[in-house]
Amino acid sequence: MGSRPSKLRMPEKPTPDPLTPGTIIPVLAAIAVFGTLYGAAAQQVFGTWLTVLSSIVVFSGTVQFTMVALLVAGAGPLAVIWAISVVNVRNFALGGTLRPHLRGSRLERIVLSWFLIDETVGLALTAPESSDRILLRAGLGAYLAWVAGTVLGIVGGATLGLAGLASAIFPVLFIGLAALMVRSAGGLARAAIGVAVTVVLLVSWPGLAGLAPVIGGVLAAIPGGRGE
Amino acid sequence: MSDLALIVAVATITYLSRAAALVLLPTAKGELLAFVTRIPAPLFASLAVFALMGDDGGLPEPAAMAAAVAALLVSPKRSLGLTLAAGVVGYVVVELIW
Repeated sequence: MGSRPSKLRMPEKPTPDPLTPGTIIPVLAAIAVFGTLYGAAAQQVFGTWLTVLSSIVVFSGTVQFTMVALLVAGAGPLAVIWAISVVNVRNFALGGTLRPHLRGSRLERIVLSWFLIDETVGLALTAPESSDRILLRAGLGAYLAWVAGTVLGIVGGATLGLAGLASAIFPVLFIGLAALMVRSAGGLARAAIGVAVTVVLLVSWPGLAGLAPVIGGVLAAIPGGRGE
Repeated sequence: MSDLALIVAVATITYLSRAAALVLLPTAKGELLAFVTRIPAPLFASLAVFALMGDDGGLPEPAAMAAAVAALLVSPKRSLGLTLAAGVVGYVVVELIW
């Protein structure tokens, strides 16, 4: 009472907590559906136990689908490893974006590294002050959903009816994550530039093994101006 | 190389790329921080296109396109749950009438 009020400021529109059920459950469901498709597809290549093992030790839909697709197409191990290395370039962009917001120790970041996937980074960036917590909790949920989905795909092999829906869910998921990241007209313009560059790359040089969106996203971020 | 060895190699490469990004690389500051802060929106938008078109740059299925358009329409609401729900509805509607 009696103290002078500070200058009034318009409050920024709060970003919803990404760990609320309404947000996290659809994400985990999408990951589980994708894992189901991976399980059904990879079982034909690796058999049951190696398929489950691959999801346990790799934990990356993009990497694992790329690996299986190349093996089915007749690629050798070296080609697979090269392609996987290229696909993983995106982790430098994701990690470089998230790293400034992490406050944990080096050891904690070694653990958190395991959960560095597109979806968890997107969720963690929606609340930068809680990135460590969100990355850990969303990552654990995503990991369990991914492995459980893989097992479900192996057990219920006739899940191909989900293929179309799963292929549609992931673009939608990334649209939602991009929308959460856009907070200004400049951010919207950069998103549009990233889309345009990626389309040009995909059409002009198909088969870049997942590098096109990384190039598109990074190039669109180069023009100056602070913030997103 | 056996399948087991290949899976272990792929897992190792994948984890090391993650750890390098979060543990080994220095924390961004100044202009670099401003730059990496600008990355997420265009990166996730680009990933959406990639997931839609695939690595071969082909045209998406009509239902997948409908899902993406429906998601785009509600994306200004900035609700991931709503965006996903709209995408599923768009997909199902086109699947039913196509």
